[in-house]
Amino acid sequence: MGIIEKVPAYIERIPGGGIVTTTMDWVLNQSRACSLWYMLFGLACCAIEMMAAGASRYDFDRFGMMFRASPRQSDLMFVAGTVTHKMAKRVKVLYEQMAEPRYVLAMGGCACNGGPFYYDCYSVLKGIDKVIPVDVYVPGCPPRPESLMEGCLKLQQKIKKEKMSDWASDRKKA
Amino acid sequence: MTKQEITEKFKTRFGPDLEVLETGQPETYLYISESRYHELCEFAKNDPDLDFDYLFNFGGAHYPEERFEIVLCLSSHEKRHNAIIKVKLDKDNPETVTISDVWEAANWFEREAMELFGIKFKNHPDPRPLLLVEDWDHGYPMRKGWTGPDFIPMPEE
Amino acid sequence: MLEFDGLLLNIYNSLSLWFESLGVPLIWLDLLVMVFAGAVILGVIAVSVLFLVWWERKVSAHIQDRLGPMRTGKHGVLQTLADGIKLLQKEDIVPRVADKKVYFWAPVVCFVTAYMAYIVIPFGKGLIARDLNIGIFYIVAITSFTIISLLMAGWASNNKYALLGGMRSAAQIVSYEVPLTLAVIGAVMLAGSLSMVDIVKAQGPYFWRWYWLPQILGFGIYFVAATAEANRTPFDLPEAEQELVAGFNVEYSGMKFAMFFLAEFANMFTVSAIATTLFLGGWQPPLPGLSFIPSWIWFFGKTLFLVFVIMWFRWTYPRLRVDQLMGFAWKFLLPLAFANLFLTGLGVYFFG
Repeated sequence: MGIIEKVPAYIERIPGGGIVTTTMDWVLNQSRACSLWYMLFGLACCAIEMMAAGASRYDFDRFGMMFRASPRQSDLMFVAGTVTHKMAKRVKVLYEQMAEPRYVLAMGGCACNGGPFYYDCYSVLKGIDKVIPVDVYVPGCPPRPESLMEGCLKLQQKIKKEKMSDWASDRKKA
Repeated sequence: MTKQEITEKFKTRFGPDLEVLETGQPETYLYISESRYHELCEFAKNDPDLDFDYLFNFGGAHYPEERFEIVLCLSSHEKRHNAIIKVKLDKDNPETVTISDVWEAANWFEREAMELFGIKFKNHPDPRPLLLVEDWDHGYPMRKGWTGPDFIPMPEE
Repeated sequence: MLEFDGLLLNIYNSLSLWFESLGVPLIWLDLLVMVFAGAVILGVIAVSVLFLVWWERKVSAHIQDRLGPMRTGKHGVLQTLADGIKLLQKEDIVPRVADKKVYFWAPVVCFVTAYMAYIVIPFGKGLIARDLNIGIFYIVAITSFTIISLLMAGWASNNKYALLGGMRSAAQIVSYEVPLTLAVIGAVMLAGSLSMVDIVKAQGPYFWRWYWLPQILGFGIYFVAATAEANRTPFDLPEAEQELVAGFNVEYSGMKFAMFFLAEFANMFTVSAIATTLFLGGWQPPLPGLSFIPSWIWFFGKTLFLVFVIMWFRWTYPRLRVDQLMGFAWKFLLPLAFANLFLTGLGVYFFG
């Protein structure tokens, strides 16, 4: 696996090799961004908004995002809702079961930093980024489906900026 | 039965150990002493006129430096009346008997009170923790004045 | 005028002359033709699955009053391609406690089974990879292999929910094989031959003579049993359990999952193609006057219409529970299939 990771760096050193890597980057990034399969991890009220965003009026399937239940088959995990300490362990287990490349979108105030439960609460984890790395934060209580879509589009923009030459460097995600 | 009738029924049976609390609410609010607590629960459930067969809420309360309390909310499906029973417990070592042999619902409620307040229930059939993380060892969160890791109190404004 | 059979025959004849002039025995030509036909079938599967995945998403979206994929290419036509490339990039997870060999071979068996059934499907006049004289019998035998791959997948994942899902799925497919085969036998009795090409030719050129009319009961039974074979709603409790995190695919990721996904759509196309061949006259136009439209267009049109009906079922009917599913197969469809067989036998005996 180590050699494959270094191949893009070697290709870039060949004169004109930059065109190959940037085209390949473009193709691979586009395919990943246009076909994000998401895993519903609806814990609380934000789950309703997420379901609404996937339903008829604000369709997610327009962007190619399909709902898969199993973490092994999904790329994106929406953490929608309040995460308690007891649930945080299970969220971590599910995150580790996802196949790379994987992304996390923290939806709603509770997943971003504890939300309305930030003060005076003994059982709520103050933000899901204390256990798993988050790519996009979508604030709101709950965020409207349009906000959630904006978050997904931002994630697509983030995906499209990724480079193959990052595979061998330390800038990879955990 | 009306609020007056329920209160009279309880008073005739439990007289000196009872204390009626006058709130403006339509339900009966009673304080019962800890020694006759289980007897009152059995009476409330088995008496054909009272017929409280539904324990719909059960909680603890902490008055710091004064006492702990247990609050029961009872209701009757047939007769459609409610009653609120409160028991005062010792402030340093709150313990009492379990009433899960009277109402099955009390089983989980008492587990919650055990875990969050530290109130002990004798003869409880299943005294495992219920709600908190499995490896919780930071005390009893619902007591007033508790602090622990990851607890951010509301700033004074 | 866009028919292929004359063209292919000419190419074969000229190639055989060339091979003879070079002194190479003709067996090499046959081998070459077989390999080429296999490659073309792979291409047909790839293109049809590409189309069907997109179409399923669009059809289900429009039935639910929303739009399906719209961004990837105009109206989302490149969606399946994006899905495929993304699945290629996924990490290939093998659970530590899984049975590695079985885990590896399950998707392969599933896909190979789906592929093998395409060999005897007549895509048009003269467009069949191999016209076996036991065509329909071969197909029924091959579709039973799917059960093995499901059980392999459910077992190898070493996950009790996957195993349960796999066993339920296998039980469902096995139960629905029986009425399906009996319904097929009805059509075979009318045609008098097991070969797919002979069955199509025996149906005659007029659409009221095709076997959907004398065998209307058989067609209904076949179609219902085929929907259950392909694990589609209303019979998709094993697959819907996937939506509820169970089902034999739960531990598969990346390209192995893509194989299962592909095989499901390939199966759907296969059962529709068989229904078209046996009951709807195969590649023939409804009236002989319409034969200026090439035969393969008629075949694909009829097959895609039946696939559309299967997809339509998915978003119209609620799901059956497992016990209702099995009861339906054994207590309702099977006696009906026997009755159909009996009546067909009487019909053939008395009316020739």
